[in-house]
Amino acid sequence: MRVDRFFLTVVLAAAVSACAVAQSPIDILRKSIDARRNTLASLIQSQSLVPTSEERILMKVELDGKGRIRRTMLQPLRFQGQVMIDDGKSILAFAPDAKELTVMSSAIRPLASAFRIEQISKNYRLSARKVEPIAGRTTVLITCRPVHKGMPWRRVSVDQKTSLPLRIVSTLDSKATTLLDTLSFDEPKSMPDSLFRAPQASEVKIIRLAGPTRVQSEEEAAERLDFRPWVPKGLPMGFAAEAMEVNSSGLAIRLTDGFHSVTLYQWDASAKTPGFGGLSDSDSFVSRGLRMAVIGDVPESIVQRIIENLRKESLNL
Amino acid sequence: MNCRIAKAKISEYLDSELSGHDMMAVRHHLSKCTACEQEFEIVSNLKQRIGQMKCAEPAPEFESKLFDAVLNSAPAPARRPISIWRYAAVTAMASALVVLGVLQFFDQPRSAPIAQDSRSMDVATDQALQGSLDPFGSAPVITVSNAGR
Repeated sequence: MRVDRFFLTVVLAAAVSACAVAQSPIDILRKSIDARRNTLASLIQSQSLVPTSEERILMKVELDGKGRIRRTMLQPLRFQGQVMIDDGKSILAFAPDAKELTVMSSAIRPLASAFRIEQISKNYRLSARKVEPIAGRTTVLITCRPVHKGMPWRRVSVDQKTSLPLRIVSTLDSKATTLLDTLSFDEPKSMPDSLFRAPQASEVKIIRLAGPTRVQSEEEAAERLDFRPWVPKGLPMGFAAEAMEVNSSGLAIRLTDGFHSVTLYQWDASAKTPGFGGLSDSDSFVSRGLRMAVIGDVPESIVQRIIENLRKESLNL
Repeated sequence: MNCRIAKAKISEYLDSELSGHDMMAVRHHLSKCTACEQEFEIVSNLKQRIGQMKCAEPAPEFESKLFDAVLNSAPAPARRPISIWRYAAVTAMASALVVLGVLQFFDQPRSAPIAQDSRSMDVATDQALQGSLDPFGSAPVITVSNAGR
């Protein structure tokens, strides 16, 4: 009888270990960051319009496995039919009702996953386990516990076969928000090229947006701008500067803790330059002769902590 | 769900804009409330009829009348004698515009846009583009009618 129990325990342990995930959680996340560029799939996904709001958007996402992505908005009605295509060279956004095609001629390629992974390793404690299928796919759930108090938890469900993230849930103060969910997942054999070209329609107005230029240092940014920018050194909650981009409106400094992205916009505080459109004076603040604004997919409390930190650091200089 | 809330959500219900939970709640309420069901029928019929309506086409002479009205409303500027330099400058500018127009024509896609516009980046567009590139980002929706304005 004792032998039977022992045998049962061994079998149970073997079953549990078989179910355990072979890869480390960080390796799974690393693959998931690049998966959109090398997976051939057609998905219906629901995504939060703004990460901190309840409003959701339903879209069809088509990936051709060669780095091209087409997103067609299905709901809500005001976005229905809008198409966004990233063909690897430019980003096109087509609004059928307005008959406008926005073209970003020199789209900046996604940043290397290495920095993101390094940030995630520093700022989160990860664990992985297999869970119930999502949209008929077997997934691995990565639970990411933040090191810094006040940051949301992340739960990322990754498709075991393709490594695509199928569900992302953010939890802060016991309130869970599903940022991304997948309702259907198809693996077609191929995708027609026409899907990734600008939609054909008569009398389309083309709006060309000057693409940003990535710069490597404050000096290089200053050469391209009419003002001297400022890159903060000490950021709270594990955030660090990932990249700097200069465009016709000013400077955008991309900050991330690995999962969350926040942009620090800077432009000349003098009235001569309009700066980034869509921001009122109350959305921004002035420090060191620069007007700055912090916008990102994080709760307002985190934005405020970053702003507070920026103000302190700029005063101490 | 009470009648006030249900009636307020009927339009969104018809357009499938409600969340699953709200859809179920409205459907459940409609199944047991005659007054709201009647309201639902009215809104549904109204939407169908609006959908079947044809866009009114302006009369053929509308465009010329509109131009005439606009041109006649502005006071005509006093005519000055055109100097030879001004004449040369205007001719050079017109030639440059023709050259630019030809260049733009060859740069256009087959869909033949009615106009091209170059704008600077605004925050909403920048964030939408970031969202499209970020594997963990938010929905990449460019509110196109406001893009870059």
